Amino acid sequence: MIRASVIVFPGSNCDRDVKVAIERITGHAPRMVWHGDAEVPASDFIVLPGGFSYGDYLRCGAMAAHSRIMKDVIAKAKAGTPVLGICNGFQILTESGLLPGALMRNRSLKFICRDVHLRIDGHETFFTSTYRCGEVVKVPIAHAEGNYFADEHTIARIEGEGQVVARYCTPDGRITDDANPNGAMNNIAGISDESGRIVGMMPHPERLYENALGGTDGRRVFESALVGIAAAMG
Amino acid sequence: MRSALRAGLAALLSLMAGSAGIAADATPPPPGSAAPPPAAAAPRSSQPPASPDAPAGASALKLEPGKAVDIACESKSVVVATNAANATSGAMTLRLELTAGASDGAGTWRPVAVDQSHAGSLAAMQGKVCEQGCPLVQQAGGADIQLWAPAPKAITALQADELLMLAVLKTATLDFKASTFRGQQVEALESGSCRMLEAETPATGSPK
Repeated sequence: MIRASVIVFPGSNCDRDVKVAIERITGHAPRMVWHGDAEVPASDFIVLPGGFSYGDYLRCGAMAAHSRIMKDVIAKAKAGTPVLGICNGFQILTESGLLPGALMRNRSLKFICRDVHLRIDGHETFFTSTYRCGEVVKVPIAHAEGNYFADEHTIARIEGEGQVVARYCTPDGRITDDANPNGAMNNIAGISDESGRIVGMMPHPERLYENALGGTDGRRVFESALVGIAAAMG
Repeated sequence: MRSALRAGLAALLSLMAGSAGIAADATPPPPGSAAPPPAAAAPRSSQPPASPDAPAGASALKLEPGKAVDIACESKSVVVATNAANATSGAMTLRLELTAGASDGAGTWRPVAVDQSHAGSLAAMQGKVCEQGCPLVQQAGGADIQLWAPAPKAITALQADELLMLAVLKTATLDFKASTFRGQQVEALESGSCRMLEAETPATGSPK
């Protein structure tokens, strides 16, 4: 069976969406792990869901990054367990140092909730391996702090090493300022670590995994994880 | 990646049916372990190993201003824009040099030699552009060196058909990855490992 774990923080509001998506796609319900727990059960992958952990107190993801459970998430991630951070989960990954950069306030200073087009530039990660490089998909975003920022050297490093997983783009895949909903540097919507096992993204793939939800473009994020797990089993 | 995907997909049906239980944590082993990593990580860890004749301790690279260093690399590349299956692999030699008197880590690099069959390598693709040297930047802490061609530029500022190559060379391991963009689209991806060459060679000639 698939052993996925979804971390639940006070203020998480996409944890059940992620749970249902994983269960529908893999056939196995993930474990819901409370932020106050000391240890994540042995997992094939871990998801940090979206929401407003700790009410976004201090900065989005800042409190969650120092929660009790994150010590073990960080340890397991460094030992190789794949981790997916969605929206607030992405912010937690950057705040905890598992991914470089930071998510700043949207340049419009407004909360944005709508579908956006993404170009998958990083197809060699645990969570995107079933997408084609350059493929354009449509996935919802819902955030006020998704404006990805990193210093010049870090941006160059993640671009050079192919760690940019997805960029905001036009429907035909062009990277333009108009297609950038939040002002993110280089239109970055998601990144990975060097190994490709830790991925953070602002868009919500769990909100678009079956036709009843309006599309299936997010489904392959979880199918990619399945493929990765299966391959690891040999 | 494709073979890894096939292997993964082959096991997928039984996995989803719950008949292929995972007896132990699927957490990949730490570096150095013999067990294979997950499929998705395979492309990123499938770089060819450094040449076995590389001397011990030769992998730590520290550039000094005004002193050229040659590195011999083995790499694999895929020109995504044309045909992802059309990967090439082979050897190439690059020359790196920090600018004399520069304190900001700036310098130049250029291809010295490349296998003829390795058409997707950065040395082959940038051979003409960087024949006289393209810019490099050594990170302040020295952890990595970024090689640019033709010059540093934001991806979002690229015009249609404009090419930009950016490679990141880890100074501790001499592993590198490179991404080439054309008009903001990913054109080619490359990864490999290098070793320092013992003796400097004259800074002449062009990529062969």
